[in-house]
Order: sequence, then structure tokens, then C-alpha cells
Amino acid sequence: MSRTNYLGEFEELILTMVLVVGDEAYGNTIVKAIKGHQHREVNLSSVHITLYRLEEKGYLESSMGGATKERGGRKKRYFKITNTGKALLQEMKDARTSLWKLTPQLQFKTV
Amino acid sequence: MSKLPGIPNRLFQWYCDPLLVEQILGDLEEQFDEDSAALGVRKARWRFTWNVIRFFRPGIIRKFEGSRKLNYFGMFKHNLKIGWRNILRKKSTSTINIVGLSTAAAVCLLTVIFYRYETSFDHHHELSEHTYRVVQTTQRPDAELYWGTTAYPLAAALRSDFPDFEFVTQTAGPMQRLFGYKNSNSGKVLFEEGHVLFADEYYPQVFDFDWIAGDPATALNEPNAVIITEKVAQKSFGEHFDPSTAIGEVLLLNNKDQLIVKGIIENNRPNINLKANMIVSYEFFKKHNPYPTGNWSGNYQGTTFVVVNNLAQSSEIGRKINDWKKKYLNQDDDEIISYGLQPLPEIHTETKYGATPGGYQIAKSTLDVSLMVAFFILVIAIINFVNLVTANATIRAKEVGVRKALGGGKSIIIGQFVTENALLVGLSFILAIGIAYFSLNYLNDFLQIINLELSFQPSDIAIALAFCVLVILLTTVYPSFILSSFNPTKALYNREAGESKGVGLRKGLTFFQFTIVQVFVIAAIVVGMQLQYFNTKSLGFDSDKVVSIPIPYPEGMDVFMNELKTLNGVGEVSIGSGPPMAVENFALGTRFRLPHQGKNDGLGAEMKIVDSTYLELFHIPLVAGRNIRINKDRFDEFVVSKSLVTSLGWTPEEAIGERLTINEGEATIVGVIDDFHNHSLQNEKTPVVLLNWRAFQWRAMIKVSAFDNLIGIEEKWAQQYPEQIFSYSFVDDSIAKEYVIEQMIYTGFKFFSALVILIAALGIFGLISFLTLQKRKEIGIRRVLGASIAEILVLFNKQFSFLILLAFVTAVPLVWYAMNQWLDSFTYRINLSLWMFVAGGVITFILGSSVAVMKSYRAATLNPAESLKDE
Repeated sequence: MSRTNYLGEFEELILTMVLVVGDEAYGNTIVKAIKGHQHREVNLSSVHITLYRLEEKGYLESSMGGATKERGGRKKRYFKITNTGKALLQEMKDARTSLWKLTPQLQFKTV
Repeated sequence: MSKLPGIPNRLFQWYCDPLLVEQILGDLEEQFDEDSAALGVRKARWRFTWNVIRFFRPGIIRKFEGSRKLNYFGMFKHNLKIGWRNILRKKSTSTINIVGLSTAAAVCLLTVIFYRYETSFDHHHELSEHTYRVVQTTQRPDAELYWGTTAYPLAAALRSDFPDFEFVTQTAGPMQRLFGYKNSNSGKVLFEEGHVLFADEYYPQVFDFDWIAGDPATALNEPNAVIITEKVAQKSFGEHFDPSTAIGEVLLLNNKDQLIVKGIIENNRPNINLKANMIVSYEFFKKHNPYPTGNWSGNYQGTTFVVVNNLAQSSEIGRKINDWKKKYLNQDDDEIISYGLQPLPEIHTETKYGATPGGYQIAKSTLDVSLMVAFFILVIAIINFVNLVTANATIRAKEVGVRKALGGGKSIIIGQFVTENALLVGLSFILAIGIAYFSLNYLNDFLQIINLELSFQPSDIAIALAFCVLVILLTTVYPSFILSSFNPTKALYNREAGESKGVGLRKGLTFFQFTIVQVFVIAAIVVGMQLQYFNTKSLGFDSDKVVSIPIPYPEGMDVFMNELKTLNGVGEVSIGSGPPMAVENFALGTRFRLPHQGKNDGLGAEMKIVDSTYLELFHIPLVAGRNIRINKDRFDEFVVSKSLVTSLGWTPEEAIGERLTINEGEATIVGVIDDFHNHSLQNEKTPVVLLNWRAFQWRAMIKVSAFDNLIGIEEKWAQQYPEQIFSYSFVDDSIAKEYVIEQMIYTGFKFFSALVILIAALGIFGLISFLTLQKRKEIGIRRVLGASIAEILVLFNKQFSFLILLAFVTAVPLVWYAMNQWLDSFTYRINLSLWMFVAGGVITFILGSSVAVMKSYRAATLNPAESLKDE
């Protein structure tokens, strides 16, 4: 894994969450998903910043849409993971798994 | 649904990148709605606010509007760089601009400093706004006389009768006195002090000094008290005296009277009117001079100051004093004398009543003129600047064209030229401040005669800065607009696009410049001629090689005189009141009349105490009668001047043997002499009475054959007056000093006209070099077609010659009027003659055109093959 493809922990979390939430992925739903799945309170601003950064890096793509009566009639920016993003997540997961395999202490002796 | 809180909402929309507002604010509002449903509106608002704060981070904040403003900075840097390159590329133009502008600005700055100094006299006292000098006007049948001094008893009488005055203070002097100090270990110190002021105890309370030791309120309370400056203290008690022990020390005045040091003050500021290195109690003066200090009719170097609490009352008080004066003045005096109040800050610049004793004045009008002159010099330099910049416009037309074609707006191009010119002006001003700073010392030396001590103050830099901004505005606005107005297609297509721009203005400015130059040059010639007239005019007497030395006291005077006569190389020796011409403002005024006439019918005259050798010494010829014979305690012989005799209706021969009365007594006219100049040439000569009195015999006047004779004279002096300090002056030098202000004006004009010629010549140099560059090809073609060098020189110079000629025609009436005004202030003056004007014009013309010819000659002689070969 080269240095340019490096993702921070939070970035990885957000990227994963976009994948998890699917079609409805925008700021608020991601905050809620993180809260729901991870029991973790994150601030909306950090989520937004991270989303923009990921988009800039090419792992996400976005589109405006879904004007509703809520939220003052403002449009939402929906985020969707790109293939590069998916590949990166996959790569990171594989890398971690291969590392896991090298760690002896995790063989559960009692089983 | 509740509304979003206003302030955080607006704040967010203000700082957030407009591209992101929609989505983020949507998310925020969604969250806010949910929060207000779940947690209540109040809490939801807090969370919203908190979120807004959290969103204030890079990536969300809008880009600085910024990008455009930031680019400004980039442009600015770019302009500076281009400007700097241009300065370096056009070395001669830049040098001309910087040299001209910085010298002119330095001169301007120095003049402002000078002006401020001269108008600051006695402004620093806390009470200066409330202090007035009592002035006197005496109405005589032939003239009205104005006095800055008054009779000595006036102050005490005002103090007791007018409670309106907060203080009334009387001074006498400053005078010259001899002092001694006896010290147990270092022996005796003897020194002469030229600025001894006698003043009453109120003086230190009205006038502020910087006190080293002593108390201003009580220092002069005792009749033998003296306040000394640090300088005098160092002279008496040694370089490192102790102020606390110096108080109470005893100084001996004239080697006999004990004065006790009651106060030590810092050395005088240079900008005060009444200079005093020692202030002795007025009571002391009164005790030793009972007659003058009690005489209401006399006026002997005494100045009275009053402090008025309520400024509005000052004119009313003046009126009251004139009603009140009859209480003290005798009837004769009351009829002719009236008093007035003159504000203290005006004394130095308002010349009607004269300077304070020992001081000098500069008329406000002189100061204003000097400021104007300096301003004109700056204007000439500015004109150069504008001329050269607009002339260069042609060369830069292409650059402007390219810039415009690339989208540079007019304002950006103006910005560029303003920055460029501001860079030049700024450089010049930094130089100017340096020049001004370092030439202050020379200026102080040059103006030493008036004790000038100009200094550079931080505020001067502020003045220079203000000047600088003004000059930037003046020099850059017009040229920048000219330059920026080029039409890009024309400018790129045709290299002559800018040629016609600003030519009219350039001509006008050059014309104006040379008008000023010629006014200066002609004025300098006129002033110089007037001064030469002063120095060479026959005064009616001959004072060549006559030394004047003061006689300290009458005892032993005759012995001293006889001793002098025995010296080798010494000619006539005469003792009297002074040389024929009144120098250093010393003249004994009197009034003469026929014995039967009333006192107020007397006409003004000057009396001179002489002896039988006086006429011989100064080569003053007798017209009728004989010389006086011997000096007596009661004078009985007069030798009078022809104009006095004429005013009484006599011929010189008729006058011999007649009786005449002057204020001091009656005597017989024994001789009549030709009129001579008894006052310096700014003033009319007046009738003179020479008399054989044994009083006022204050000076010995000695004809010497060589400078070495002074050694013998000093030896005789030391024998006769061992306790005194020898001092001497040549009468010729003293007379020359009477014209020191005129000499100063002349030097000033010489300097200023040299400066303006230089700056204007630089301007011509710049313009011609620009023209030769522009017309290189034209000249080449002309040469090829057979034009001679002379013809080409004419081509270049005819325009300038015409402008100089036109300027001459304009300058003549201006300078004629101004110089006539100036000359009118002298009784004995030269008449303006045509040659002065012509000479001024010719000098300017020669200097101006020689620069032009020199510069254009190179272009004219250039091989046409060279100038035509490129492209």
C-alpha cells in the first residue's frame, strides 16, 4: 500500500459508512449511521470536511438532489463511493487480514 | 417548525464557501429540526450555534474574496519591480528626477524648519499667551517714534495701580559687565559677560527657565541676588561644579560689588528674545542707577512685561493705561507719549517697535517670502518631473498598448505609473531628509550671526512625509492619466502615438519654470548691486584702519590716550561716544531748537561726543567755522552738520556764533561740517551735533597702520586697566555688520538662483535627451539629405530659446515690481537699470541653451549610417 493511498481512521470510517448507508448517504444520515452502528458521537462538520476530502481524492462522487420541504427546502448532497474507493477499501481490508494472519496470539486456544 | 437562530445563521452564511452553503445549511437545519423536536428549541439552538462554530474551519470557510485582493498585492509587487527596472534603465532621467527633487525638497524642508524656528520665539513659556510687552509711541513734530522699551518707573507704577495684571515685571539690559570669582584653592577667575540682564523678582515667574538649582519664586527676592546659567557656573566654579554648593557662592561685579548666586538655570534656549546668561536683581540696578530708574522722561534699554489674566481685557487695559499715565508723566511728555501692549509671541516677527535690547527680529513678511521661494524651488523640480514623465510617455506607449491588449484596465495602468513615480518620489524624499539633516550644521554656521540653532525634530519627518504625499499626487496624477489614455491599437500600430500628448503642458511648464528662474537670477543681480552700493558708497567720512576700543571708566583716560600716541604706527587717537556711523544700534538721540522755542518744538538729531582730533581722524571736512577746542565738564561748543543748519534757515556761514539748545543744554555753534552718513544706509542720515563734553566718552578710536599695532595697544591697555579684559573692533567691520541681513539675503538669493538654474538645466537636459532619442532617424535622414550640424542644432534649440525668451518677457515686469518694492525699504538705493535684466536673461539663456546644445550636438554629429542602420 503506497503512501498516497493512505486513509486515516476517520476517513476509512466515513468511506465505509457511505458504502453502508447506500443511496441515502449524505451528511446527516452518515452521522446517524455512525451513531447507530458504532455508538460514536461525531460532529457534522468533521463529517462534511472528510466527505469533501474523500471526494477530492477521488474515492467518492457526489450529486445534488432531493429537495424536500424539510430543511428549509434545501437540496442535499448525496455521496456515492467510486470504484477506486471500493478498491481501496478492499485493499485495506485484505492488507489488514493478511496482517492478522501473522499475529500468533490471536489463535484462541480454548476453542 | 421553529426558525433557525438569526445571528449564527447569518454568520454561517457569511463565512461559508458559497458553493457549500446549500448542502451544509440543509444538513444543519435538518438536524436542528430533529433536535428541537427531541430536545426542545432552546437546546436545539445551542447545538446549532455550536455546529456553526465547529464548521468554522479551513475547507469550509469561503476563499478570500480574496483571490482578487491578493492579486492586487501581486500586481503591486510587479509594479514595483517594473518601476525599479525602469529607474535603472533610464539612468539619466532618473538621476535628474531624484537629484532635482531631493535637493528641492531638502531646501523646502530646511526653510520650513527655519520658519518654524523663527516663529517660535518665546512661545514656550506657560504664560506666553498672556504676556505682553509694553510699547511706547512718541509723537514728535517731525516723526512718530516707536519704542519697545519704556521708562523704568513704569513697571512699579503699573503694579500698584492696576490689579488686573497678574504680574508686571521690569528688566534692564542685557548689558555687558565684568565679573570675578575668588576661590581659595584655584585662585581667581575673571570674565566678561555680554548678556547680563537686570530683572525684578517677578521675571522668573513670568518667563520659564529650566532650573538646575534654586527656586524661581524667591530667587531674585534679595537686592544682591544673581541667577546664572550653567555655562557661567562652569566658567566660574569649574567644569564639574556642584549645583548645591554653588548656590550661595559670591561673584564680584566690576571687581567690587558682591552678588550671591541664588539660582542656576540651563543655558538659554536659542529662541528667546531677551538673552541673559546672568540675571541680577533689578533692585541692584536701581541702587546703582538712581537717576534713570527714577526718570519718567527717559527711555534707556528697559523693557516692561505685563501678564493679563483675561485676554479679552487687553485692549481695554491699553486704553486705561493711556488715561492713567498723566498721573506720573509731566505735561509735555503726557501730550506726546502713548503706551500700548504687544503680545509676547509677536515681538520677534513684528518689526514696528523693534527688537528687544540685544535681540534681533525677522519680519513676518521676510519669513513668508522665504517660504514662498522654497515652495517655488519645489515647484520647479516638480515641473521637471512631470515634463520628463510625460515626455517618456511616447517611448512607453507600446508597453501601455501591450498591457491594454492583454486586458489591463485603465485603473491598473494608472496604478502602475503611480507606483513607479511614487517609488522615485519616495526615494527622493528619503534622500531629501538625509540632505536636510546633514546640512543643518552648515546652515547654522552660515546663519551664526543671528545665533541660529536649528535642529531636526521628529515632526519634521512627518512634514516631509506630508510633502512627499503631496508631491506624489502632483507629479503622478497627470502623467498617469496621459499614459493610461493611449488607444492600444494606435499605440501598437504607430510608435508616435503618444508624441502629441502633453506637449502643450510641457511647453507651458517649461515656460513657467524659466520665468521663475529668471526672476531669481535678476533678483540676485539686483540684491548684489545694492549690496555693492552699500559697501562702496561714500559715507562722508573715512574709517579705514580705525580701531575702536571701549574705555571702561573715565579715570586715567587721558594718560591712556597719551600712552597710545607714543606707539609706533599709531596715527590719530580720539576719544568720544563712538564712530561717525551708529553701529550696533548705539546712538545718542537728542533734539535741537533755538533757545527761545518750547521743548516739544525740538527736531530730532544725533549727538556725538568728540574731541579736537575726531574730524581729522575720520577725514570729515569743515564747511565753515572751526573745530572744537577742548572737552569740558560743561560743554560750550557745537560743531553741527549742514542739514541741521539748513533746517533752521541759515547758511553755514550765518550759523557760526549762533546759540543752539539741545536737550542736554545750550552752546555756541563754532563750526559746520558736511553731512555724513551717521546711520547705516537703510536709514536716512539725520542732523548731527558734535560737542565738547566730558561725558559719554566711552570709546577710544585709533588710526593704526598695521594689524600688529594692536599688540602695542593691548600692552598699554593692560598697564592702564589691569583688571579689565581687552576687546577691540575695526570700525569698518562694525559698519559691514550693519548689512548682515542684506548680505544674508544676497547669499540666499545667489544660492537659490544657482539651485533653480541647476534644476531647470537638468530639466532641459532631460527633455533634449529624450527628443534626440525620438528624432534619431529624422536627424539621420536630414543629414543624409545635406543638412548641416548647425541647422540641426537650431532645430532642437529654437523651441527652448523661444520659451526662455517668452519667460524673460514675463519675468521682467514681475521682478521689476518686486525689486522696486524691496529697494524702496532703503533710503539710499540703486536704480534698476536695463542691464541687470538683460544680464539675468542672458545668463539664463546661455546656461539653458549651452546644456541644450551640448546634449543635441552629440545627436547631430552622430554618423547617419549609425542612426539609420537598425530595423
